[in-house]
Amino acid sequence: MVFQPADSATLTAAVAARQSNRKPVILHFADLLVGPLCASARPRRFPLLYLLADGAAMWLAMQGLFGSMFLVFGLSRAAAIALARFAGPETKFRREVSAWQPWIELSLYVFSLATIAIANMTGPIAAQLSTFPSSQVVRGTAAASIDAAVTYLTVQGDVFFRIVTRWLLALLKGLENVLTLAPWPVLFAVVGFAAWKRGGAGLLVLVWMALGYLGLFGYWAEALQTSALVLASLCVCVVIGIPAGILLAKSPTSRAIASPVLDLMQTMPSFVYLLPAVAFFSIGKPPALIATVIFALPPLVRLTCLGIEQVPLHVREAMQAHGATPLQMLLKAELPLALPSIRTGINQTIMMCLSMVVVAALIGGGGLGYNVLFALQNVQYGEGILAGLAIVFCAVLFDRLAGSGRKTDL
Amino acid sequence: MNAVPNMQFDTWYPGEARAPVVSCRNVWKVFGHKPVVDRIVGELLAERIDVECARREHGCVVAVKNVSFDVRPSEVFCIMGLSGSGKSTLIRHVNRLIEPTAGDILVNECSISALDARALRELRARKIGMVFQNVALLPHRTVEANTCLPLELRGETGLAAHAAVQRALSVVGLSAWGDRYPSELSGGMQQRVGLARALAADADILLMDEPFSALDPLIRKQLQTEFRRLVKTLGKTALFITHDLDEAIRIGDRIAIMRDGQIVQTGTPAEIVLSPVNDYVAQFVEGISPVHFVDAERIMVLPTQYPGHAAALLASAVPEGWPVCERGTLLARLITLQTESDRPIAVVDGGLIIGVVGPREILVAVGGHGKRQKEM
Ligand SMILES: Nc1ncnc2c1ncn2[C@@H]1O[C@H](COP(=O)(O)OP(=O)(O)OP(=O)(O)O)[C@@H](O)[C@H]1O
Ligand SMILES: [Mg+2]
Repeated sequence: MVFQPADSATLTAAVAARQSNRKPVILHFADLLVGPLCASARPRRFPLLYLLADGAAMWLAMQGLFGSMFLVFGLSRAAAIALARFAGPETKFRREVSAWQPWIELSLYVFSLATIAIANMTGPIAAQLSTFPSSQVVRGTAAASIDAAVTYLTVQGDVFFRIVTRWLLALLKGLENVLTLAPWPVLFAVVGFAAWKRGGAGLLVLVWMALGYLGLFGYWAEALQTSALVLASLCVCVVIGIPAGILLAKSPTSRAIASPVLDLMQTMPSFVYLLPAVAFFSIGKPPALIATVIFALPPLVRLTCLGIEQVPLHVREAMQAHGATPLQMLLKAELPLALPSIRTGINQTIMMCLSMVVVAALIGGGGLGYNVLFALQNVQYGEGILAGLAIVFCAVLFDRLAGSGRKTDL
Repeated sequence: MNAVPNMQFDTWYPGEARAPVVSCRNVWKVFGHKPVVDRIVGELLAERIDVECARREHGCVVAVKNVSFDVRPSEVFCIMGLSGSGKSTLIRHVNRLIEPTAGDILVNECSISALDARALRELRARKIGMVFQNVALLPHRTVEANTCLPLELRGETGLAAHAAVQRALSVVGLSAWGDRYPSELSGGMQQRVGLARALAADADILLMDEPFSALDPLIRKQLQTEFRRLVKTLGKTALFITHDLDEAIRIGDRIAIMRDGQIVQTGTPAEIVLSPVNDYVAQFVEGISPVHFVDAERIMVLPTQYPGHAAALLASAVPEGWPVCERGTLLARLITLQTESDRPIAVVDGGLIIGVVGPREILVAVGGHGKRQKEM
């Protein structure tokens, strides 16, 4: 429906001049009726006005003041037309919308209005409408079937899970052995040297203070266990996360699938992972590692993907123009350029691993997390805070040594 | 090629007789939302809607509009046009960095849209080199490693590759900068690295997207000369984009002028300068001095048409005091001859007088575009 200028004299000269070389404003029939819904699809159609006016009209109708209702409704539409004239047509070309869309919007609008109206009356239907019909049966069945699935998988995948457990245990033990093999002066020296190379004397002092705290307060062995768990998780995360990130960057389909999964992994309370981890891998360090990996993996995947996506178009073009194969493109351009982003991802992952330490202690992850847990269970404030500080110092060590190193290198 | 030298601009181009190396046939490129482009492209081609309409109503940009041209072997083909006229878009079609919306591109008489991924890579790696307008160096590689990139991508990393890299870097005068990173170089130096990279690849076809735009006049001129020399001695073919007509005239065998995605005129520098097809081209060539690229053959009149001396001239007897010159003598020299002798100049070829250049011809050639064809 096209609304020609009703009375051009009412428009100021400026507005007229602005509009003179534009097409007349087009308001769809559905725009007028549907108001807010349609307006939301077209940014400059004053959605708030519609919303307020329709709300008011609704309230008036509830009170039985139908005359006033029509007045408000009519006035709001008139104002919308006037405002649309004044603002001129949308400058951006319209989105491609199917012919059905206005009608779907219209039905939605009418449906919503009608339902709200009925729900605000009294009677059995209104009662039905105001609370969503919930069902214990559905929830019970769903939970039971998840249980059944877990049980089924546990039984069927027994061999697989045992092999994974064995590998993870080997990795953990190996790392732990390496760490505990070295007497503490050696660790002091090696870590100190690394710190000095990274950040000079300042970092060296910081690192030695952290190590000194861990040693002096008797957290040395636990700290090494925790470090082994973190490093092992990190290894698994890197082995899975970086290829996954590359895959996500390359294939929109995989991204569409993986994105919600990553969201799920990040938002699901970390305790929830413990149950299946225990179900599949029983109690001990391997399930703790698995739970940690699930929790800490998403940022690495995301940041790898982001880093690759951010490779400038002209670099890709240059590679393509010289005949690079996809593999060459990845190895010679994308990964090197994504490196800062991947580094950040690794740093994030380490921090998340450390934050998972306490939770993992619940299922036998051991280490510093166990100290915290023990203190909590026995209401020992002092012990709890000291063990918590030990975790903080571990985090400081990892962060300064592994993550944000020299900022300048590329 | 016309055998009779009666055409005004009958010029011989190197390699003209042979098949074109690159040829674009009615290439169109419409940027926009894919389904929309697919829907309107038929309308566009049939000219039922115009470019402006495509942009306003459908949000599509017609960047290249029905462009056809042939680039012959060993030719430097310049594409000129204002910013946004679609030059970069057009040149990207030649190595299929961009797929045409309609039309076809032939490289060595073989349609590149038919190539599979592997053949296309092979073509890009060995046959077509490219210099980008925005330089497009890899920031994590040194100058040397950047220059080596094309060789490395096709698996050549030995001593020969190293030598090729050094040679390319010395051509652009950056031998001493091999171990620096692009971020440590000035814009012009980066551009020269881009050029060295294309030279190192040693491809037969060079796509140059404003390769000299960020250079200072001195180095620019030097590189233009060097580039033309290289192209000619090594028998390469080049597509060269620039928006500097001086540059186009200096290094181009032929020039195509683009406007709003279309080619409005294609011709030798002399054709473009002496007879621009419309006011747009005329604006471009305003102020360009023809003395260094217009030759005697182009401006001479036939002996029979030269008043007063036709009979003598037909008998190939040069009237007394008249200087003589060759077909290809440049206008600058003709001016000198004219001022020294104060007589018309006879153009001789193989003992015959084929034309005469009088003061009037010289004045017309220098003074502007007297022979401009009217807009068609
Ligand atoms: N990827 C793209 N998507 C959409 N439009 C594009 C794209 N690339 C170019 N265009 C449009 O195509 C037109 C021509 O652009 P192009 O880069 O070819 O111009 P140009 O002649 O190279 O200009 P310049 O001299 O400034 O480099 C421009 O209007 C631009 O907006
Ligand atoms: Mg360009």
